[in-house]
Amino acid sequence: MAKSIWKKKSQQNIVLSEGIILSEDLSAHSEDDPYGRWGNLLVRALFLFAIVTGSLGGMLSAFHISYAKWAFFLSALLAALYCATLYTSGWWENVGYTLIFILVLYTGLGMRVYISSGFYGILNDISSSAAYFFGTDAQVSYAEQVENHFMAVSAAMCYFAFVGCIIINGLISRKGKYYTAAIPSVLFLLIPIYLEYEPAGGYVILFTVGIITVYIFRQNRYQCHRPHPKILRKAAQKHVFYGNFSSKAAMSALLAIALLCSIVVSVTSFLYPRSTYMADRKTSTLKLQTMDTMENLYLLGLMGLVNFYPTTGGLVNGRLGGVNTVRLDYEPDLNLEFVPYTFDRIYLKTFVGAEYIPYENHWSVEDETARAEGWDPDTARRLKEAFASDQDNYAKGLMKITNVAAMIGVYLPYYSEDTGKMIMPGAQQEYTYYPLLTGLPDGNAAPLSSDLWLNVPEANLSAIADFCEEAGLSGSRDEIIAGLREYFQDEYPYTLSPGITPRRKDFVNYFLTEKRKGYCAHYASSAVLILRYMGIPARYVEGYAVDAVEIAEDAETTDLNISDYYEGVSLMPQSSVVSYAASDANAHAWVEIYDEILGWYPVELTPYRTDSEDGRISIWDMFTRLFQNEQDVDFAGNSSSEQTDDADTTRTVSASAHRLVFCLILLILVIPVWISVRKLRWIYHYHRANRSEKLLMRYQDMLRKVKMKKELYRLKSFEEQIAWLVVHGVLTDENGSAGKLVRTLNAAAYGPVEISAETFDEACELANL
Amino acid sequence: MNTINHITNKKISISALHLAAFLLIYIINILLFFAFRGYFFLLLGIILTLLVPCSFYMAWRLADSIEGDIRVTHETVRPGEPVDVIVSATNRSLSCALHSTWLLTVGNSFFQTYNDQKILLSIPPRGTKRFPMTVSMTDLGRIVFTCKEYILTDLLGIFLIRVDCKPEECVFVLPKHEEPSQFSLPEAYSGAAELTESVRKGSDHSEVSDIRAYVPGDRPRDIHWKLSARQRELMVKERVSLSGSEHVLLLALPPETEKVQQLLSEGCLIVTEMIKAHMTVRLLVWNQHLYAFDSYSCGSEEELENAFCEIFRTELSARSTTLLKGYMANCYPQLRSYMCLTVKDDTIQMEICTNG
Repeated sequence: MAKSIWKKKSQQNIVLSEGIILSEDLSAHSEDDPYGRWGNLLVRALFLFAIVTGSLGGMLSAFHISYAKWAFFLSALLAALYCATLYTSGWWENVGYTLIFILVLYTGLGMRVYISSGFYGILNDISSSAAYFFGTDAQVSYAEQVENHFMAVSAAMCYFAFVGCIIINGLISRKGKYYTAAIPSVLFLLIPIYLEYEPAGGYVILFTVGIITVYIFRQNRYQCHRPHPKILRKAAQKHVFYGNFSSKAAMSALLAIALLCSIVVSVTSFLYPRSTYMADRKTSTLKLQTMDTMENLYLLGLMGLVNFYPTTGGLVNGRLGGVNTVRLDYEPDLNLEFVPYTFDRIYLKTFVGAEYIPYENHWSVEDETARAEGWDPDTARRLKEAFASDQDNYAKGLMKITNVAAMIGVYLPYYSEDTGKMIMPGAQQEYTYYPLLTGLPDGNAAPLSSDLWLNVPEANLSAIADFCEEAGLSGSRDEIIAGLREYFQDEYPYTLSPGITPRRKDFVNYFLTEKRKGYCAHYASSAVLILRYMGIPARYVEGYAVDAVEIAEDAETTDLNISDYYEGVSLMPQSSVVSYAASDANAHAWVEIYDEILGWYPVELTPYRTDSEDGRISIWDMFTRLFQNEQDVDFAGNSSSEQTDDADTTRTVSASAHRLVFCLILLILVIPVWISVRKLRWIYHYHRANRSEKLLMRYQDMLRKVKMKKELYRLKSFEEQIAWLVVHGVLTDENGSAGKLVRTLNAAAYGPVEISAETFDEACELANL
Repeated sequence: MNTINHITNKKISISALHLAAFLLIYIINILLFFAFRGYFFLLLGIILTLLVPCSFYMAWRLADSIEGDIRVTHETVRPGEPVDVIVSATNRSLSCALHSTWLLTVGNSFFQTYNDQKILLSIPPRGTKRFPMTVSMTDLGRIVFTCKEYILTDLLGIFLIRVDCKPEECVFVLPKHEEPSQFSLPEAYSGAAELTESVRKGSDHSEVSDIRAYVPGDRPRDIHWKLSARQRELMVKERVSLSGSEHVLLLALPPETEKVQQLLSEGCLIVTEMIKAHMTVRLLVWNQHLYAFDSYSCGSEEELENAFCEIFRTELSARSTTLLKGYMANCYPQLRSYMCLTVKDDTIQMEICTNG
């Protein structure tokens, strides 16, 4: 029976040249440097210490979090020294790891109150800094169980230093993953730097020394321990011999880097101090672009990354509060073909919100009566009748609307009876409408069927009452509306970046009392409740709004016959049939107020835009839009006590489902990338390999493809593997081809010289590689 | 000890892979700087920028101040005996290198078989780094350890500084001489040729150059009995041999490595036995470079070892020829006969050859 690969290797002599045999133990080179072993351990401990203290300490120093630094440094040093010794021998590696895991577990459990409290304390400090940076009043905070913040943070930092050393040491010493160890430590510093807090100079030195040392050691193939004899033997068979890494050299390199870093940091800090730099610097464009996402991430966690509304100008059927910044793509959503008839704004109504649900932050249309009443066919009917009798004061129009990229729904011009004409994406609908221009409709409007339109939730009463008092709203309906409009214009600036409504906050209350800025949905929602509070029936409406100026500038005139599209009185007599592409910039929310004669009519209470935000879309948005979801766009609200169990369950199931979908999408994206990276790595290594290595790589690839991984653990020699392949019909053994293949593979793996091109080709042919 | 301090040239090359890796990190830092506008990345950028010249300067300084050694513990060994070869690098400066590659050529100069080895060493500041190897040889010959060049890598791994050097250290692997020869001592080389000179005329290897009166100590076989009887005084023949009173052994080396080793081993055993029998042997080996025979007088084992060392200094290809007998006749016309160790029919054979 053939022996295993390793046994086979150990029996082979290493031939330096013909007739010259290396006859000594390759692992016994440490005698020339008696202190080298301990020196290397010290070097490793030092750079572990530098990375851990530099990253963790640097982060805390940036946020000016106070803790017992001496305890942190001491525990980091002890942990680094301990971890560095873990790979001195096989038995100590096992025993040492067992001991340290017991220690970590025991300490973690024993001091869990302090550690968790310290961790939350650190998070709270970071959170307050983040809230300051984002300019938000909302702040994520966690309960700290230990009152002594200083002690809790110190305990947590000592613990994290210990755990950090174990993880980084494991990655570097055990697996040689230098970069994998370095990247997370960089991320620790990226958090404060993003929030415009800088780590202290000493920590910068520690961190840069650690990172650069890691890089240099990686590039020089520095290993703290002499490689395993098997590896040395394999290299020696290829005529490469590893001397012991000099601990003096490693220590000198470390010191040289430390000296360079210290000099650079000191001199730069002297010539161009951090404070001067901070005053001079400009905020980067990238930071501006990602700030909303980061704020979402900060306030809502990871799900904040996927919590984006579709491109409807921040409006989705009455859902509120989930938009940090309204980003407009200016791509056509609807194509309108009509005759302009007024200089006022033309509205297309698609959603009517009846009942505001506080804390869930959305407008409900669950009431069937309200739903039916919301579309208000009564006014349209009366105007139609008036038009039939008097075309001098009334008009009839036809609007052809094509749904280019808008949501499915009815896009109803004022006033129309075609309330059932839904427009599917890509489809076109014709709406006949009767605009209210010079004459009033006949008779009175239908009386309101319920007091739903005057309902203000209790949760909002206090805030609204305070607002009304503050704004001094009183008088007639028109005076109240004018006062409200004026107050909004003066005190509540319009912005496309209102910020997300934090968890456990009500959208209207947060807007009126804390944020005090927003876009149309904020004003319309608040105005509806305010007007209702003031006794004026009102409702929330979403849709598209087109101004006469926009039509004049952007609409295209057509040769279509005007009479086919419009009859009766017009405030724009020289008009023609135009085609206008309404984009998400036209998406709008407004207020409808009930009048006994007119019925429901639109009122504009959104202030004029005063900022210069254009909301142009970024690549990040395009990426995140991949994850957008129309149904579950509002994660901002939290369940209040008033919510029903069913609603809770629905929300939870919905959120879980979307998390699952998100994970699946990520997985689907990650797997091909991972496979591609693996394949590219294989190709890269294959092209760098010599013929022997190429043959072995192709052989390994072939083994992988025939899925004999389990067998590989048992079959360690080429003889056994080839025999298995022959038995299972993967290979044939014609004229001793299997034996020849085994010999070639052995020569490739253990031979002193590279196999010839002919042998390589022959082996590939034999093994069908 | 052979010190590698004959620096002839320094060549700088750049490792594209390491350069790309460094540039990648550098660019990432720049991007992070512009993305975050952090002071930290500014500092890191300056450090990375300065790191390149500092690293290069350190390696450049190191290349000037490095001394390499190759040491072997024995000058001559027998096949299978271990020899310690120590490659060491001594650095006099404060610079250091975590990675240096020493290109060592190891081979048998007699058979002209060489192979290159790479030894990876880290060079400490003001210190010596040693790499010991214990080797044993199975083939006879002159084993040469040559360090052709060493490549110093800077700390970042970007710059490779190649420094030429030409040290050489060698070990002679001599045939074993403890074993008995396969040939029994025949008359031919046990002195019978000369003892029977008078009765077997023409088979003498030496020539009589003078006749003189007997002095105590002269060998009885040199007494000229006829003349002594005539002159009533003991007279002895003053012989002039090819090598005095030595026996001539021609080593006819074949071009095949294995046969050569067998032949040389057998020759060594024969000569050793002859030396033990208080005979002096003159070894003749052809040298194509000189177009003459190299001649070595072996009266002791030390002389025999030296002779083999000298034989191994010239490569086999210059020692092997099929025209040996013709060359012998031309080079030594006065020599009547000699012993020749040769390979015939794949076996080592000893011949008594008549010259000419």
